[in-house]
Amino acid sequence: MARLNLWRWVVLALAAVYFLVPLAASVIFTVDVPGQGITFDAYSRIIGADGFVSSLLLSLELAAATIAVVLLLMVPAMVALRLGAPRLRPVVEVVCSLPLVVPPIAFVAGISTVLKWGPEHLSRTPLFQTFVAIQNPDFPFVLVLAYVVMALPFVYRALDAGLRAVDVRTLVEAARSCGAGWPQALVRVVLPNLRGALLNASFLTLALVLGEFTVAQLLGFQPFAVWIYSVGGSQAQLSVAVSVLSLLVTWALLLSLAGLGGRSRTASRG
Amino acid sequence: MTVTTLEKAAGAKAATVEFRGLRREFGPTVALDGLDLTVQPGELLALLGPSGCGKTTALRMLAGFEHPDSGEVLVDGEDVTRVPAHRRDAGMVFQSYSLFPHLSALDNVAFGLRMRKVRTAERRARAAELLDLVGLADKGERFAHQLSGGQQQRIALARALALRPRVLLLDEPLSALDAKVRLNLREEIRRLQQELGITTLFVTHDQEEALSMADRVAVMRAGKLEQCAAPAELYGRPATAFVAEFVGTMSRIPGHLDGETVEVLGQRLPVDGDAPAVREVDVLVRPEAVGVRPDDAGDARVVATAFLGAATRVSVRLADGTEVKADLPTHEAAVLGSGAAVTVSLPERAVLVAERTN
Repeated sequence: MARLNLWRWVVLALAAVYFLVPLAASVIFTVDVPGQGITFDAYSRIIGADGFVSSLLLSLELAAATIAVVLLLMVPAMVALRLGAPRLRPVVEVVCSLPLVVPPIAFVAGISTVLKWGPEHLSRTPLFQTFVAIQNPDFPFVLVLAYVVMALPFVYRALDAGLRAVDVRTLVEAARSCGAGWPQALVRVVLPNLRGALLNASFLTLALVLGEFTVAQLLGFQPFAVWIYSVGGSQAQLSVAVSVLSLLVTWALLLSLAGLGGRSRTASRG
Repeated sequence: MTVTTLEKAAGAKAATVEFRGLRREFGPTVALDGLDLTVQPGELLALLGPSGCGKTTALRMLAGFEHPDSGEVLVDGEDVTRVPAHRRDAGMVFQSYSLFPHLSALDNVAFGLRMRKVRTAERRARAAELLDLVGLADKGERFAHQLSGGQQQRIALARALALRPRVLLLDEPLSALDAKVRLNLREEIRRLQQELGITTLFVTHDQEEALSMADRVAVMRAGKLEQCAAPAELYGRPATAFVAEFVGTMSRIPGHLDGETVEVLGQRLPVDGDAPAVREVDVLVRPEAVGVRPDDAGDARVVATAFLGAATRVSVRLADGTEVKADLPTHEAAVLGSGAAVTVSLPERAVLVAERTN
């Protein structure tokens, strides 16, 4: 045991060095300005900069919408797949993994082609308005659509792992023999037992949306990642400070989500 | 652990269950091939058979989880074939542990009442009462992973009874438990079932379990009913060779059929039931009916003995190579070592015969 523990500490230390040294270097670079000593000037400039709050809010809204859409799409689909057509699983797995293979640059090229082509051909139909609406810069729903596709592989994997850990069929049947209809069985029995998987899926989607740059930039919207790029582009210190900050923001969000889910999880486990 | 008046009220209207010509195919396999069966009000009927004989499919059809290709399921004369599972009024205990992992034992039992929108105070009281009924009143706050397998199945039983179902369905509820717990729970289920007077269908592949618990046992084979009878009758007068060999231990001894009698082991015995149309038959005998006597002139040899307690099971090889099992009182068997010469005899009464299989 002692040997094992020693090895654990060694691995932990190596990992910590690997991750923390660049981080620490970044932080020192931003606060230790030559000739001025320690100063948090870079950070205060970011917070005060134009668009910080609005771009962060936009990213959070996009993340929330993406999580909602992707879970509403995938949870019923995965449960139905598990109960009704287990043989289709490999097909769904491949389809859900496709976004990993298609580079975002190709994906966004396709989207922008459709966005250009659509309004031209549909200008006399109500669909024209739809095209306009999904590109509203205040809340570009087209990004949500793109992110849903990009999150599919992660959400699929997280939910699949969760569904493997519980005997969904027996639980649903037990619920139904207790007088629960299908929707009740899903909401009251399956979902609470997938809490961990749902949280994992949400984590991954949140992290993906907060850090996504390519699609948003090329479609001309300005969520947090794009804003960071635009604000930091000119000044080295500011740009590093911004990436440290974005790291902290993402961490804070993930930790709060974990805290939220973790607490109710232990409570439910008694 | 007493049954309240509420429970007895449920027992008063025990239901009759009828399967009529149930047929179900899963791809190339026929799970049920025209099953007809009636379960009397308040009885515990065991569905017994080898795996794949369709017994679980029949039970799941009554629960509403499977739908027949043809045929119907009737509860109290009412066709429920098209009624969805959650309106079937059937409580079920599953083979695998099926407690909801996110709920405490008490909330598990109260789950059905919650679905029926029973008020919180009332449903907690009723759930506590049911936990008391299965002897786990003090475990209400535990979660499934904090309970043993036997306790989990007891709670599952309480949950199944919570809505006062008309029928109780037990799908091999004991098969995941270890031997001692299984025996206790077997008695407990039987006691509860009798006290509540609830019509119960019990699926099992363990013949001992079926014989010891059930009022009647239905033996199934390849999607059909072979025989449905009280345990003693099933054991003593099996209707078919399949039932004879599936229920209890049977030895086959070759014999010659001659009209209404059969010649076996140098004896001439009457045939019980219908005789097959062939001359070469096997006589089916229970080990307790076989007499084994040490005899130096005998041409049969003891090949093995197994001590069972009061009795010892002796395996004897006859001159023609047939192996026969006999249960002897242990003190008689003491002199029969492996290799001892013996003679084998049958009591002078009617015997079951079947066509020779090999």
